[in-house]
Amino acid sequence: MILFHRDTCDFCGACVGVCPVDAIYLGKADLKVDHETCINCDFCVDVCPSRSLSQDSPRPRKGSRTVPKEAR
Amino acid sequence: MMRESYDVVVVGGGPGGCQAARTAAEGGVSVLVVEKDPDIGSPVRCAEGVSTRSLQEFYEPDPSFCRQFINEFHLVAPNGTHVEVAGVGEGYILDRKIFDRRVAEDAVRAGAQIVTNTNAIGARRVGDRVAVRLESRGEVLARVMVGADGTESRAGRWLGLRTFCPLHDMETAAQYLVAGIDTPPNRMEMHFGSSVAPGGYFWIFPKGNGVANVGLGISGDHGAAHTAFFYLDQMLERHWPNASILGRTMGGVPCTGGVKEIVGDNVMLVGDAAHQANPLTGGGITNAMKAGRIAGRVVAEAIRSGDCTRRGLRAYHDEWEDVLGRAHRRFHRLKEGAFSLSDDALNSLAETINRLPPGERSLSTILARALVARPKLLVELARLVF
Repeated sequence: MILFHRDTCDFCGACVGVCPVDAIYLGKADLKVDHETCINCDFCVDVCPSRSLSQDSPRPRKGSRTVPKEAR
Repeated sequence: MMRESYDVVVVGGGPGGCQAARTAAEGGVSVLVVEKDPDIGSPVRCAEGVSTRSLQEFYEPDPSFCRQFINEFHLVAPNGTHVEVAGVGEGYILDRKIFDRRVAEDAVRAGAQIVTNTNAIGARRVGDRVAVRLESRGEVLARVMVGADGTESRAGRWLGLRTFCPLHDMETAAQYLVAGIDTPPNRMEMHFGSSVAPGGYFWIFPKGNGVANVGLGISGDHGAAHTAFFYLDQMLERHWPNASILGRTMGGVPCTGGVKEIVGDNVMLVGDAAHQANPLTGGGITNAMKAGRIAGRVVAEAIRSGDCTRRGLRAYHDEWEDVLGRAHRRFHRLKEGAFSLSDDALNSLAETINRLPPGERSLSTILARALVARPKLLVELARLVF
C-alpha cells in the first residue's frame, strides 16, 4: 500500500502525472491516494522528488507490475 | 461574484491558462479562470528561462519581470569540460511571480474573470455543456473547459482524454534558489552525466546579484535509486559548499512527444497538461502561451459558430501540430538518443566540439556529432533545422 508523508510533501503533483489509473487526488496542501483504485505500480514513489510517498510492501519484481500497456 | 455559467472555463491560472483566457475573451466570449492556489504565480515551480524571441511574441522584455539577461550558453560534459554554444540567441531568466501575474492581469483586462483559491476536482458532460465541479463551491457550467492544470492535470482524464505520462518521460526535478555564487550573470549552463543527473541535466540559470536557480531533473526511471534532491545536494556540495539556499522547489516535467488528443468534445488541453514543454529542454513557458493563444482563438470561433464538439475544436490540434507539435515529436526522439549517450561519449564529444572554431559550435552541429552513430535521428535533426 502507498503511504503518504505530509510533512515532506510540497504538493507539486508529479505523482498525479505518472499515475496510470488516476488514483491520486491533489488539493490545496492535501493529497490522497485511493487505495481501491491503486495498482501499487510505485511510479508515484519513484517520481516524488521529496520521497513523500512510499510503499509499505516489498517491491514487485521487475516486469511483474500489473500496469496498463501504455505505462510500460 | 462567480456566475453559474460561462462560455469557457479555464482550469489553471498559469501563463498557458491565462493566455488562453485572454485570447478567448478578446474573441468576445465569456471566460472564467479557476486557480487552485491563493496567489497567481505562486508557488513557482520553474527554472524561469525564456528566449527573447519567444517572449517577444507576447511581451517586450520588461525589467519588472525579466530578472537577468542571458547571452551565453554552456553545455558541460561529465568530466567538467565546458562547450560554449554559438548561435543560440539570447534570453532572460524571468521572475515568474511577477510575470504570471502580468499575464493574468491582461486576461482580466481583456474581459476574463479569475477566481483564486478554487480547486477544480471533477467535470462531467451535461447535454452539450460541461459541469466543472469546484471544491466546496459547487459546479460551474461551460460550453468548453480548457484544462491548463499543469503536470498534475486531471482535467483531460475527467472527460476521457489520456494524459498519463510514462515514468521514464517524467523528469523529476529539484531546484534551489542559491545566493552567494560566483557564476557569470549572463551565462546559462546545462551539465550532463550519469552521476550528475541521469536521464536529465543540471542547470544554472542566473538571476543576477550572485543569485541563481540551480536545479536538475532526472528521468523518473532513475528515481527509485536516488531522488533529484540527492543529486542536487551532491552538485551543490561540489560547486558551492558555502552558498546560501534562499528557496527550494520541486516538481515533475512531462517530457513526452505530446499528448495524442489535446481536444475532445467540450474540452481542450494547454501547457504541461498537454505535455507541451520542449521534451529535450523541459522549457514550457512560452510554448504553453503559444498553445493558449491558439486554443483561445479557436474556442471563441467554435462558440460563435455553435460547434463545441471535438470537430469544432479540432483546429486547435491542427494549428498546434503546425506550430510545434510535429517538432515536438522530433525533439522527443532526439532526447531519447542524446540521453542514451555514455559519459565517455559525452566527454569525447565535448573535446571534438571544442576543436572546432568557436563560431561553428552550434547546437545543431553538437547534436549532429552526438548522433553520428544514429542515422535515423540525424534525419529527425535535419528536419528540425531545415
